[in-house]
Amino acid sequence: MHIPDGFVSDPTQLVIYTIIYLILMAIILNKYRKNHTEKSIPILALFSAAILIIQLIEIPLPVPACVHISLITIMALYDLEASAIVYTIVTIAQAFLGEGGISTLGINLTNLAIIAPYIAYYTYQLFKKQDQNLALFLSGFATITLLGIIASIEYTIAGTYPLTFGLTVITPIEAVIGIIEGIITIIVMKALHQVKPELTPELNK
Amino acid sequence: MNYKTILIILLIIIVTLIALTNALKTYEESDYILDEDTEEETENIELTTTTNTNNQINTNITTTQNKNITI
Repeated sequence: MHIPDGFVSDPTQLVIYTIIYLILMAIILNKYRKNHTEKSIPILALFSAAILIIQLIEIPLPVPACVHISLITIMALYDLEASAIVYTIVTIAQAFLGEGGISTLGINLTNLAIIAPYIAYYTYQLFKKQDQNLALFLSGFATITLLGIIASIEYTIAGTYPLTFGLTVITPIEAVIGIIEGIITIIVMKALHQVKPELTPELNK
Repeated sequence: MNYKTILIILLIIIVTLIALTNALKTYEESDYILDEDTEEETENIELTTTTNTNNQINTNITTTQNKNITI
């Protein structure tokens, strides 16, 4: 869920979101440096390119909104800290490709690079004991749907849309993408697990 | 895949589709627009209006010139 230019126009809010992102990203980068070597950088580049291409495919909906799948769960379950870095690269690239906004980059980075991977990871952890497939589906579904709710709250704070509009219109649209995301997460994770099990460390546990 | 998993996924799909139907109705009835390109469209409309106004001014000038010629 990208917030385009002009949908949040208050400079104070834009600066606050950017500061929040920079602080959290600094903490994540610090963790990443401690746990990884230079050898893991090519995988980050590979994931960034793959996710950027997949996110360029837009899903048609009967509402004039830009929606696509994001593969957040797959990346978050591979490596939580790496997913923050990958989604930072992807979100910045997308902003310059016309998806999302450059002025709203701080909000989009906070939502997509910080909040989303953590929702995906912890939703999977919460449900994996019940059933692995269900956990994968719910992880993809909950991430996208909750991002819709978070974006609705941000729109309300910015005064763009009322909260009722966000929760009754934006969130259900996001939930539909969440279903597609959930199903694709199961298919891709199972396929990856068969072909390259080292890319799905959570499924090996 | 476990049948319970399939059942839960189907239930989520049905509830989401009901919510989407309601969302589309609410969107049609509301005054808000979700389109990102609205500003560009407005600019285009403004540009067209300006062009039309210029054309009208040009036409008026031509008419005046013609009248002058006639006179």
